[in-house]
Amino acid sequence: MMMIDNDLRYSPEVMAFAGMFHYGILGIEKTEADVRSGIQRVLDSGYRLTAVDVELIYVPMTIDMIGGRATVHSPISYPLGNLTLKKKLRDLEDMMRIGVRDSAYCLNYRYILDHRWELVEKEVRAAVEVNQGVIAIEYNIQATLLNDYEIIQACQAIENGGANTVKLNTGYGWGTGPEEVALVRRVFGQRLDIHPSGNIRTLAQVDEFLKYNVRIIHSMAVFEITEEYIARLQQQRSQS
Amino acid sequence: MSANIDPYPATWHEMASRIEYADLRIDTQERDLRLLCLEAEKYRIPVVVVNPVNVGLAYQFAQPCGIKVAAAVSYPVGAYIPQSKMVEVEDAITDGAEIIYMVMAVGAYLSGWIDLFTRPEITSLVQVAGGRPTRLITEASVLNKDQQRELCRIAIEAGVDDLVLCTGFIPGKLPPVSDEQIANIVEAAGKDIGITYMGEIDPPERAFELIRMGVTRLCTPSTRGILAAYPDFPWAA
Repeated sequence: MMMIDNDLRYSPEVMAFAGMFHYGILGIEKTEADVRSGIQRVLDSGYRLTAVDVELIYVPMTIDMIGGRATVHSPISYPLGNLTLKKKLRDLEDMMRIGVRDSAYCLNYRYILDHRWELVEKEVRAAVEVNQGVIAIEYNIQATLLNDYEIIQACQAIENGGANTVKLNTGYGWGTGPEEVALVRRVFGQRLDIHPSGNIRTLAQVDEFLKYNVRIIHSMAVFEITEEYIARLQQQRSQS
Repeated sequence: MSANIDPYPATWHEMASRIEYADLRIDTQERDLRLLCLEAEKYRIPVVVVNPVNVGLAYQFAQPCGIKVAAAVSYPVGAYIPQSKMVEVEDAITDGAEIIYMVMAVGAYLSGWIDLFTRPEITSLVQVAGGRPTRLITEASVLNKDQQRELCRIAIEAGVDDLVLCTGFIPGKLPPVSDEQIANIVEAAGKDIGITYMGEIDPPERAFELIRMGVTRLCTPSTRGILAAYPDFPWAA
């Protein structure tokens, strides 16, 4: 096994790499102990991740425990986008009040699949107006279930609604492919931030996304991927 | 259908009366909701179960057919504060829901937050539902025996009509509820609360087994397959 020295492990390059990631501790069965254990793993890693993702009920304890080492993220209507608009906005208000500063807002997918683009835009606009820029919100579509036309139209509705960030999959059962990122980047250029999510387990996958100037990635495997990245750096340095 | 399992209950009409026809998918479209209601009418299923955001539209399709609409509140994760869930219950009722399913905060219960979360959310559900039937969704497979029985007691004390054994969401992510777990809950429930199984049911004869074990209701998208196991079901082909 390759020995990695701490100078490399905590080098600016590695810190910046790990800093792209969200680490999720989400799910119906997740307990206080699970969340504490996940947060402790983040703290022990020494990295400053983009965010730690937890269910709304665990936000206060996460904020206390994480102590500013990462932003606390909680999703809205995750993963189905199926809750009523009133409920979603209520959750958004609750999140603003208790200190959430990053969220994935799952859009109503029926509106997207029924091509009701004006309703998609209206939903985004309603969230943007309530949020007033307090929380960094990525608007979540389920790109894997959509054709290219629908992906573009959904992204257009997000942009028309006043937002500029799309998360391309929930990560529940489906994952983002590089072709989806490439499509959105090709059509929208740098106007939209693109956040891939779901089944991202390897450095090779991350490399693919980075080609399209992705800056934020959701992955449960952040620590394993970072280890891969460090190993590659080490190898590159030993060869130079 | 395997030859050694006789349909139970005996007729497809009786089975249909125990089914609540669910479409809780992420990719449900308007046409799916219309079809759900048309099939419910055809198969004599009394209730359709949909996501909260689809209640209003489903109601438009279901009401002329005499079908009731049930809302699956906070589905599938349920990890919200009780007050926030009640906003959704009120929305669902306003939109036409006559039955309220609600996913409990399972993680909160497992964390021991019973007085902080579990009792308040269950009590609030019954109160805000205002006499409409209530079905509390849990994930029994992640509860131990004592917790399963305790949850039954809490739900009965609060006046919940049914305890739902599982969300049925993404089969395989959580272990399926076992026969032993179902038996434990059925025994704890007695006659004081109904027991509903939620999710896909495959093979269809599993539906007969569930009802033989004491499950009182099936909330499932697998309706046609189950009813087609009856030789005289008219739309089996």
